[in-house]
Amino acid sequence: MSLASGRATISRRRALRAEPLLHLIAGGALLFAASAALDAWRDRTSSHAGDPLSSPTARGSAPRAPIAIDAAAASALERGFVARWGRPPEPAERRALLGEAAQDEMLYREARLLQLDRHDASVRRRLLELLRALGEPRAGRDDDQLVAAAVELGLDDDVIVRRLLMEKMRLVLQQDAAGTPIDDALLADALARHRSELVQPESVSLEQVFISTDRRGDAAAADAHRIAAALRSGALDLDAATGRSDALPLPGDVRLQPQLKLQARFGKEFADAVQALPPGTWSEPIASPFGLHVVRVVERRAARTPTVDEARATLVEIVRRERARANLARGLARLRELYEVRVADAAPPAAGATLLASRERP
Amino acid sequence: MLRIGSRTAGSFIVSFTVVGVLVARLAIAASPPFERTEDRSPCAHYDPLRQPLFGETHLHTAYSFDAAILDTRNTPADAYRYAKGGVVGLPPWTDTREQFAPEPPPPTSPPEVAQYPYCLPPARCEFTASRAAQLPEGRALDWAAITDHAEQLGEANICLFEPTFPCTSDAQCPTGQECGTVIQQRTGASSTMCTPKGYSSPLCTLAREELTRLTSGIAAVTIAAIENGAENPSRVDYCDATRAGDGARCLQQAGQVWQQIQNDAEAAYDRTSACTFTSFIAYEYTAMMSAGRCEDAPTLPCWDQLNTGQPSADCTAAPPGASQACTSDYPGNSGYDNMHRNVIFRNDDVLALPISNVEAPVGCGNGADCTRPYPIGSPQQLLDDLRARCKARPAEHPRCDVLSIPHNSNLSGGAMFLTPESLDEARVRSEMEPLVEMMQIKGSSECRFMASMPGAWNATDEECSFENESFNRLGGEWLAPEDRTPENLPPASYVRNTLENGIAYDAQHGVNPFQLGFVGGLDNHNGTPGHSEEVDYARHGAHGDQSFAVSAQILNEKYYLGLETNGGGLTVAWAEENSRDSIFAALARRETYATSGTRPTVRFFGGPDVPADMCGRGDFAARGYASGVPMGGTLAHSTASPRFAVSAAMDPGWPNHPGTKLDRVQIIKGWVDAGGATHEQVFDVPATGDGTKPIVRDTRALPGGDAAAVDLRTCRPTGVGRATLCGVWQDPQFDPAQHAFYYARVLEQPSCRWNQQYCNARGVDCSRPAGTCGSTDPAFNGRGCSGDAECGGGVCETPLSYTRWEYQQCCSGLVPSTVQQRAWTSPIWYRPSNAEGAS
Repeated sequence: MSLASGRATISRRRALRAEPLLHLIAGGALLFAASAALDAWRDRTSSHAGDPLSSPTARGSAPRAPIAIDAAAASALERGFVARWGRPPEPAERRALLGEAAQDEMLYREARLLQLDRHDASVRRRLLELLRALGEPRAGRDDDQLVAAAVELGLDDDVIVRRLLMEKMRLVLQQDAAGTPIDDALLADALARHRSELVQPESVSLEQVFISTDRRGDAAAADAHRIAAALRSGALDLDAATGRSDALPLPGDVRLQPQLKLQARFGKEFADAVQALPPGTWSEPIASPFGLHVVRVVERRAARTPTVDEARATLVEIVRRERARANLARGLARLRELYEVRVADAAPPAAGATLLASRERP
Repeated sequence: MLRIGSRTAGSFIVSFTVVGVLVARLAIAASPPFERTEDRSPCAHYDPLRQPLFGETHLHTAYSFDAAILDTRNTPADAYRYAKGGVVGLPPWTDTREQFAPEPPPPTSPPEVAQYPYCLPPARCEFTASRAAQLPEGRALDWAAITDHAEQLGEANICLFEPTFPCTSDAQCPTGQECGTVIQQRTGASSTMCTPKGYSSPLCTLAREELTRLTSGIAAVTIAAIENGAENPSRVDYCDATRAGDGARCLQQAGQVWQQIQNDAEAAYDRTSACTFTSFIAYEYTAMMSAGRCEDAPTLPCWDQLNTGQPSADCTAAPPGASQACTSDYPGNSGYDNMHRNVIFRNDDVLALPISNVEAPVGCGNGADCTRPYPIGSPQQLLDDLRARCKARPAEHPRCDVLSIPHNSNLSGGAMFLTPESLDEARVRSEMEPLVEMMQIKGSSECRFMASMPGAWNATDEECSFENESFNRLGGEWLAPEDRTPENLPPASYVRNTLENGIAYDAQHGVNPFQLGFVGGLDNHNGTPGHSEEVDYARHGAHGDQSFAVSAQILNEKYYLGLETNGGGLTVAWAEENSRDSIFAALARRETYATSGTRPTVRFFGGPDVPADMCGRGDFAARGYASGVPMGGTLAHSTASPRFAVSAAMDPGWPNHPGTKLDRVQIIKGWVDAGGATHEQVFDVPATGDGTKPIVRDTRALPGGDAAAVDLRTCRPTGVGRATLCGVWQDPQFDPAQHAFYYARVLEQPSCRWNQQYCNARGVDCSRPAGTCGSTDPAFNGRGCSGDAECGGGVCETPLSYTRWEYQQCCSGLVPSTVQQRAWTSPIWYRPSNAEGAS
């Protein structure tokens, strides 16, 4: 509670400075404020038919203060870019830079509107940390009072608090507003679309002869081809070829390992190449991070696709993830519609988005 | 050379093809070279020549008090999911209860163990993870041991239990719980719920308050001081059930948590012939030695006084008769000697409760108040008990087997490896502790080197300055550079010195108390085993909400979980198959190597009969086993100088993340001379594969300067390096009469340390000023600056992506920007025959 009242104070102070970052309601109404704010926010921002939160009796949209980027803020951004990359941004980069900054500011402001910082342990921790860094004495105050004092000092306008709140707002946007249940039809569809990730992998047994490029340099490729040809023609058997090959600490004989394990040990390039090999014949040299391998697949056990029941947990996760991604994209698009972005200089703003308000300074 | 002729389901028919002198003497697949103590299918991928299985030996979850108060919510079940390639959440948790009512319905049956539920976005619940972690494709671990702190399994469950089951009477609650009044943190409303007895004790109430109020964790420190750090540890008072000091409540609760740990391990273990993953039931024994009180000074106060004969500085400064603890005579005057050990069981035949520091404290010597006088600093009571109750396989535990792995000797103030006081102690250490943790998040323990005093720790090896910490005790103060002396950081804190002391003891007494192979681990408190990549450490850290997103502490060099910490290590076991019996046998015979977190593959064989041309053929392992002993083995007496063959391959990386190539291979030899003095030397391994091509540091000679380098902005290597290295080395100074050990160290090319990854992610570029002036004065506006004072009345603005503190710490040079990741093989020991039957 004291956090809220402390913030109300600072918000009044800020309001006097015509910087209405916060619209806080103190007192008993507070408990309901956040959910009401969320509903209102959805009403105002939803433009999608079929979204149950897009009520026809929308409660009206509180106007957002424009995100204004004055010349100083724009040039600060550019200087940041220069500091990082050592050159000024290209026009497209500049637009992306401004768009990203404006989006961050939107996320931050919406998070503050929804009071996502209320009772947020991480924000509190950060504020206490900042207060300690200032050498502010505890003076018998409890943590709530200290947090309020930190807000009073404006310490909540902080890079790390911003990071946290932007992240939290992204979480809010990812929420599935409709709460559509995930049924078996959806899962079956996901299974069909993600078959390649979900398939229970085939396993393979192989024999190999390793030729070290480090050890043989330019001769390695020719040596490997010669050994491959000799193995295929029968001029060399495996043991003889082994005697002409190079040491590798990894197992030469691989027995019934799935693709991912092959990849873990020999790299993806090698594992993919092995997957394409017909069983029983010696391959052309195959590259791995270690060098060249002549490989013979001895046995291959087929892959199989799991049923929806077998893969249920994973499939639910996939559907949720896809929904989250779509929700976030929609939410960000709505935010861009909500905010007018004013760019002080002559540069054209990014489509639907813009620039960053310069950070407040006391 | 051994070939698998044909395969039938579940069994192998093996045929041998003998090539030249080779006799694959260990390769008998039909009856594996390890005892099968489990009911399970043999593995389809069984390889008699053994395969490198990457694993975790040291990891904490929410069942550890100190992890839970860091807001970690991952349990062992979550940790195993992560190890197998799944996604887990990390704090800070977004408490969306304010925004998303209603709360979840109460459970249908009362939980006995804290559930620590959370969800990953986009699911909604009261604890939504704000960060998610997952191993990259193909980087799932092969095996893991989860090692929660044994002392507080019950204590944590009592204090940090999250009540969810409504009740009206005690009878509705499980054993050990009661129907108590719970006040909702959020609403202040009270309700009655099943809570563990002791939940409402002042200490538990304080612990929960601290967790929500984010104060300094006094409750946890208080509990640790009584249970982990006291000379005669006991359980805290809220553990009492029927009489003072019985600890019964906490033990009852610990039993339930221990059962859950076993259940989670069982659920994660693949007992099918696919053998995709192995879990181990394990725990951490968490002894911390403060060793006495000043008032005991006339008898035996501090072990270090015992060793030096000098009284502790804090005791001499204290008033006579003061009862303050003489915790230290080091600068900083704080902290504890870290005596921790990870205890790993072979299979599911485990003790009913872990043996913790409360039951079997580290020895406190014979000070006035020391009631259980085992030798000071000795783990003998623990090891005796583990042997008698498990490894000796008494009737009640016929399949039990166990081993203990000391860790962080670098933070032990030298106490971890004090010379045994009796042969019994030496023998039990030799038998029960085959391994030591070489590397973890809180530093490398291999050895120590400072350029200002080369040889001070017996090493003139500059690679010994790798990931050294500037702390000498757990929770102690950071040592300023001038205080980093062998007096404050005793040589016995380091593994290499300890290996030397071990063979010196063996030469004298006929038993080696410190015959230690190597493992690496994390000691991560996030519940994410194998999370050792620098880039991941930069992103997620290892200590819950001491997370990088929230706290600037991680960049603080003087904070013990700060800048000097690292991504942590891994253990590789050379095992026939991915099963408990096979991996445990590898651990027990020390056929393991430690890495500093990356995944190179290394094989190492030694013996006088090892062929000189090992590198010029493709059957390195078969010939190695046939002609010598692998890493971890012991060579018997021989007049011929042994050869050592090392074959190493780089970490292959994962898609779009190539591994770092190798730089060189070294062999470290330690030996003891006739006078009992110990020596060590580092040899770069020359190429003997065909005798013509040098393989060591050849990249240094390339045109264009230092070839072993990395672009700090992109973290891409600019050097050349080698994908594989192979060499055979013969000891040029071999003396058949001298005890010796040899281990291989494989260095990668330099790569970015995590702090560089962190700073890059924040956009910090140390070659440029921290910020730029924003000023109305055109003479200042846009000028680079490090503070407002340089801006002529304007403001020095840092980019939004970082703070000035972050810039300052990123660019301080306090720790290196790059690191040469590495692997250390377990040693091969040489034991002359005059050692046999000695003592």
